Amino acid sequence: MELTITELTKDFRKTRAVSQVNYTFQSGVYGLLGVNGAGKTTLMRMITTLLKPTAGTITWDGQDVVQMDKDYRRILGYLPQDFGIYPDFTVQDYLLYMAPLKGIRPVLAKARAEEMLRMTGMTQHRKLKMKALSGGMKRRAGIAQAVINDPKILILDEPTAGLDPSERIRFRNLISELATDRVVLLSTHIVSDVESMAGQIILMKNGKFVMTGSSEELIRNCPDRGWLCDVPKKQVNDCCLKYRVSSIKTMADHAKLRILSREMPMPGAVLEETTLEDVFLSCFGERSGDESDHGVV
Amino acid sequence: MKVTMVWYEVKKILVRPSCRVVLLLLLLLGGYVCYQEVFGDAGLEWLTESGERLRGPAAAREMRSAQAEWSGILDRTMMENALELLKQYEEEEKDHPEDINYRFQRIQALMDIRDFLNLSGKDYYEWQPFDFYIAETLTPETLPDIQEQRIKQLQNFLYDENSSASSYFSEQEKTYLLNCCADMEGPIQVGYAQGWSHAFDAGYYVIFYGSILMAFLVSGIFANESRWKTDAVYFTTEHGRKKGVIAKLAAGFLLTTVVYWALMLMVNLLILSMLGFDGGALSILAEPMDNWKSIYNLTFLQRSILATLDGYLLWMFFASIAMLVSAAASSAGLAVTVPSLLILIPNFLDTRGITRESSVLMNFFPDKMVRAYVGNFPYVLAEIGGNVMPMLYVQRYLYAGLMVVLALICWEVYRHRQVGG
Repeated sequence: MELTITELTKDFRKTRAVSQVNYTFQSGVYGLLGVNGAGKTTLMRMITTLLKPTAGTITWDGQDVVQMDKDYRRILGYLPQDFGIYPDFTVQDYLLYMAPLKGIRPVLAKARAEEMLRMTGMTQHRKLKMKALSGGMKRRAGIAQAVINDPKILILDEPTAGLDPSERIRFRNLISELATDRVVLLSTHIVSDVESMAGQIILMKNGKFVMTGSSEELIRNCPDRGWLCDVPKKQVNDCCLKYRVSSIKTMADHAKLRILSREMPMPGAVLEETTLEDVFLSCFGERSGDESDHGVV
Repeated sequence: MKVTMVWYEVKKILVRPSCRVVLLLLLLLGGYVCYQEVFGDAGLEWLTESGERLRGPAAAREMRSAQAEWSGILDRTMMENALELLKQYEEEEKDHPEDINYRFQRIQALMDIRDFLNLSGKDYYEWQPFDFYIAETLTPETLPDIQEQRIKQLQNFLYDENSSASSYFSEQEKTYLLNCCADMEGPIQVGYAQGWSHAFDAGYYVIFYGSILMAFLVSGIFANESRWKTDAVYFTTEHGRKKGVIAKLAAGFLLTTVVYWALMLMVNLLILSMLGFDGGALSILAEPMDNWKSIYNLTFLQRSILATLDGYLLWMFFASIAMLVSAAASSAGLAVTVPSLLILIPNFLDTRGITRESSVLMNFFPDKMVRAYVGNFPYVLAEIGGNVMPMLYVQRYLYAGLMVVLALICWEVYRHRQVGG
């Protein structure tokens, strides 16, 4: 069970969205972390055959996925970022419609749909029209269709985006349950989500994989450390300009700043445990596509 | 392709409220044309002796009863008897100046025979003006041989140097037209066939305007996938790029088929049940005012069947265009517009003087196929490999072929669609 991408590249006119990416995915959960515009969705769309790569190949157990055609899509499950619905279909109709499209035989379709409804906690909402579903329920219907064919490769693009905290936790648990014996690739820019679900994390920036490894490995290899500093209020702005500040807690007469820095930024700074958020911040800077190494997050 | 896939594609269309509205509109269209052809301005009317104007089934009953004695082979005896009565009522009318309907009320059952006399009582194949009073000027001695006169008129039309047709048609076309006219089998029969006649007229409107409404139904089959952003999941499924696309096409054609036949069956049965099934075996020439110039040697029943089949082909052709545009442009609006323009533009161009004479292309427009059996429609012929035939025959093959080609293009275009490019 091996999904390999080799020199994978995608150009949109003058923009290179994904640039010569190489990686091998094996059974397990992979978290693709990056700011908006990093190329995550484009990469996922190539892996799901929705987009043709400009260059490079994608292989499954050594076979080119383009050549595999429907045999590849048979083992694929996909939940896109903008998960669209058929507004006037009920949840049950939707799953029964998707089942034959995903190669499930009619005799098994109903049972499989039932199982998915149960797994996602949607059984009681089965007769609801999809346009009447809440954001969380739509996502659950989305994951139900994604795994109805028991895919070997499960691609989840921003699966927790827009969900409230309880739905997010529920969703994270659901994905963790599904992670056995398949390749799960999920993209997000929510660090805590990827930390709790992914065994391997890939940091993507400007169309390239810039760091890969487990959460611990990424933290260990992060050049920056987190420092907690007490700073007089009037110096906060100067610090923000000078250092990469991940949090500011304002007190009565001073402020507590968490500064990312390789060296102790100022006397009295206390070294704190490095987190994945620090790695994210260290890698991506303050906002999407920003190459600057300094500023407030 | 699996039946379940097709079923859910159809369901996807039918559960949409807008599609239900379109189905309702189609039903209303069917109901409206039925009403018009039975009770409305285009409907059957009968004037009673008391001056009451009957419409619909009541008028049909009266007309059928009155025409009973004027049904059968239109031989010389029947024409002489009819002529005698026509002259008698013309004379009597002078004694009843206060009753403007005196003559009309009495000759209603003889109208078709009178039309035969009017049409054959002249030598020239005129388009306009039409002389409604030739019949009463004839005498038993001058009564024409109708079939002979029909051929003679056509000969004059085709070969008279003052006629526009003399230079328009080739020798082969002229021969073909004359053969069509001469080929009419057996003697002319007259009788009551109002049910078939009105059902045919109603069918024309259903085919013509219904095709536009039908395009609405199938326009979203492909386009809505991208509109609803469901295409990303759809194309990552095992059958999304092959059987799924075929299922969509099948759903479009299936829906078109079911709606078309249901609607046509409803309209035809409603009209025939109200105006009568009689006369299906009569030649369409029995309705001379409409079919005197027809080159189609058909009975009313045959014409209805062929026109309905042609209409079906047309709807299927429009469905394939709508689905192709829907798949290629991902726009349901455009998918409705293209077939609508295709059927409406020729009428618009006709009003602008761009007719079949000025542009050969105009002969290929689908509206010509719908209007092919309308008797007063000018002869539109095609010559292929030295064989002359009505353009209708070419259009049948053309549109059937195009339908298949468009469906294949649609399949090819849609299954290679990239998402997010």
